[in-house]
Amino acid sequence: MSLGFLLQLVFTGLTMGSIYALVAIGYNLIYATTGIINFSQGELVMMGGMVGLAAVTALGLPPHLAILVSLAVVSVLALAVYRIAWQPLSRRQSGGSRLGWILSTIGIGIVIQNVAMLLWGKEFHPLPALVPDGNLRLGELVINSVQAFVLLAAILLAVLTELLLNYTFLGKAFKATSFNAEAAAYMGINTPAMVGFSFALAGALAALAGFLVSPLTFASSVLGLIVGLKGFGAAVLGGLGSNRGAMVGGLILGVMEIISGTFITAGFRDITAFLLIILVLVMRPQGLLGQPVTEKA
Amino acid sequence: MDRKPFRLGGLAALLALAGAAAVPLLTDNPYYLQKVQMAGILVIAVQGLNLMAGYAGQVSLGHAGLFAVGAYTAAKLALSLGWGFVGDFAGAVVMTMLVGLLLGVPALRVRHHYLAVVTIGFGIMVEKLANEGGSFTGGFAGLTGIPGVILFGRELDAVGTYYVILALAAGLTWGIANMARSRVGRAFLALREGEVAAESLGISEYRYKLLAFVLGSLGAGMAGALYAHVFRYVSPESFTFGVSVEMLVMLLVGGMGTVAGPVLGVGLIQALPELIAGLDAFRLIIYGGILLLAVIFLPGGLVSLLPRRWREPSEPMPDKGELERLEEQAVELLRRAPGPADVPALEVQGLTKYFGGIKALDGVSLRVEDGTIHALIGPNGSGKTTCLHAISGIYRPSGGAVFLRGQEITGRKAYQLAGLGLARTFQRSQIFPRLTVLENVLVGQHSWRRTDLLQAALGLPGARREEREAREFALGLLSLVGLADRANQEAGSLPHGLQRLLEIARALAARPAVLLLDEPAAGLSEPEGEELERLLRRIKELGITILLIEHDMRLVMGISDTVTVLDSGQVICSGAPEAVQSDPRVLSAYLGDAAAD
Repeated sequence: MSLGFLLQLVFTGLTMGSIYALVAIGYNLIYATTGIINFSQGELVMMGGMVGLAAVTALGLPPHLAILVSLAVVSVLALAVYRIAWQPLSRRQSGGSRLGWILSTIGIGIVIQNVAMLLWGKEFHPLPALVPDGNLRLGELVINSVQAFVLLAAILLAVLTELLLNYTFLGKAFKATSFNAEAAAYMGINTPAMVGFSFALAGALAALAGFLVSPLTFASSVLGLIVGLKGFGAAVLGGLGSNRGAMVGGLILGVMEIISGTFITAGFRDITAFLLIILVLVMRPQGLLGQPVTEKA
Repeated sequence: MDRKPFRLGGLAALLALAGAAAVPLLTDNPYYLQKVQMAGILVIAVQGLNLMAGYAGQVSLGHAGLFAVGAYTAAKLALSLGWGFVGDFAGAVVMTMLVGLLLGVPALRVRHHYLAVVTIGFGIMVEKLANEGGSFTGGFAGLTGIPGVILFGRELDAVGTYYVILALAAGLTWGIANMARSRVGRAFLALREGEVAAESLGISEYRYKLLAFVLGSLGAGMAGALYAHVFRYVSPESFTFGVSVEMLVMLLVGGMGTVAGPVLGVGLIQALPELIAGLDAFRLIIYGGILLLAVIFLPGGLVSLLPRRWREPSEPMPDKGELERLEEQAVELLRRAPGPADVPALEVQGLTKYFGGIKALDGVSLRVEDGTIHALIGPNGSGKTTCLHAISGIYRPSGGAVFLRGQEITGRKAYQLAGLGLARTFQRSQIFPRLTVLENVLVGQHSWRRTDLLQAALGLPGARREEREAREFALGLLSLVGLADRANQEAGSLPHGLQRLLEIARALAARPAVLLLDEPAAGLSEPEGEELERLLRRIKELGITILLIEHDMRLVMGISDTVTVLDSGQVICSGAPEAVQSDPRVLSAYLGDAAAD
């Protein structure tokens, strides 16, 4: 097997991995303000693709307008998740068991997925890309323009999110809320609004991830669960809560699964991905980049 | 006193069973028969999930994966080895339990949403493996031609098969009902309510979590084996993530951690499509919606709508005279003969504990004489609680040694110490909030009671007798601390001061030689504090040694035989209360150097 082929695989893996990284950052954002995992995140990504598809096919919009429609609709949907699955329980539950939220976000995820299935069926639909399809040859390596665009756009989005969180007042308020919500509230930060903001931002990233990836994987109402789990895997690999970790985790996961999918059989791609996630959770729950936590009883 | 409290629930269970058994008499429509067969199979699977998620708190979102292991194992055995139904069934159950054990290993390391992801990942991996297994699993099309249920050389018809399913479902439910009010069932509940506290009472988190997974797999394996033989066909689409969610929805809607929950939940969810025609397209939307609504509005499930008397058999309260007798009995069980005079009850030598570069304990040595009250005091952050944690196995000491009645216990696990005679309470009260006051004290007896899983599940006479004795001892202890009239109340609803007393009663239930108390008086009102002081004196009279951390100086100086002062992780002074009170080093530690001048 040639080096070129291997490079080709790595490139494809990085492309998918960058999408997982965006999904992972979505998990991190909500985790930062609430301490919970939004198990409907994958369905939001799926909706990013499907709403975009509907905008292109039903409304006849060009892709660059369709992506805006998708962004708006999914962000609002994420706010609905906040309102329905998070808020009613946040009044009753305090810390301790997060079971309620695990189940409520799974519940709303199932509703979203099945409504989508009812509206659009289970079929896979191609979605036009934002850039024209073309190949650039670099020796043995073939760089596909759509893949390259996805990779670059995903990295750019991740960087922009980091800039937003680290260099704006909004980002500082967000970080204060995630660090200590009570103290942040005393400082006059509207913490419930910050939680809502984290859902909306996670929704926006999910919409973009779903839209960007759809020209490559096609859009389908059944894709949310797997994408969501792999995004979570990426977040865990990198260390839950660390956005830079999420980027690294996503890329590793993307490359790992494409390589195992190629050398074993395509069907084993998901199996390897989940095996990796479970192994990391068991051996290094704090993730590859995270610091080990000393628990205090 | 033994069976009376459960009469109403038992009657309801018998009626339900009779109703279920009557179904084939009411209809011979094959569609309905198939429906009730499936309902029975689901009850078995969901009871397994109930053990894991409801009792032990290990919520699995991959139960369909275990269900699949059972179904595929039974199918493969039937198609290749031809062991017959009983052999396939047993083989499938054993195989599923082994896989469940394997799945339980990660569960020892991860919690909450991490556990959710591990189990989801497991379920999806099983489904994918079934899809990708080629001719071995039949791939997407699955395996067909599985023989039906054959018992004693005769193939059973649909009705006969249904009765086999019903008998197994009823048997499993009965076993869980028995287990739920035994030492073993309460160990699961305690683990769910608080792992640290459960371990301090002798419950090994490691053992009981794995056991929960194995038992949950028992249900899944039974259900899977039945499924394969009853429907004679297995394929990956019967074991998707959606099925795992469906099972969890049934459990949640019925009531997690209750005996009747799975039955009610399966009944409702199975009946739902029948009640509203033309619903099939919306089925999963409705499941998702029910899950959401149940979590928000009905966290206790349908069971919580039943009259209280039905679902929570309460302990009949003995009259005053009887209670006094039980208290005397309990006191006699607690009483300890003094040990050899030269062996201290607890000895700590040069104990150190580092957190990163911080020395929380820096060579602490203590000698707690048998039968005395020994107080450990010191300013905030001086290392008192760390010291107690290092003695009681919650922290692993970085160095030094601990001896309990002459036996070295350094570095022993927390759950091993209760059995050796060391019990403790916590600075922030760690009662089991959703168990009753009585149940809390019953859990406290875990380390020295002997009923095992099998005896408990089968309700054997030995297990029943021990349970009766355990309840009497618990009531006696509650009477001792003045909580007997609240025995049936949920512990979480007790006011703070009474929770602290309950925690002491629970620790005493372990029949300790040495009792460690971490700030028992914190947050108590003055009369409550006086009550506590009386109780501590009473405990001392029984020959139980007490090591106490406390900030209330009046209490400390009033009851302690010896006081040791810690500052910055080191012992600065130790002696009789009067001597310690006037020691300049102590004044300086508490008030700064100026005070000592």
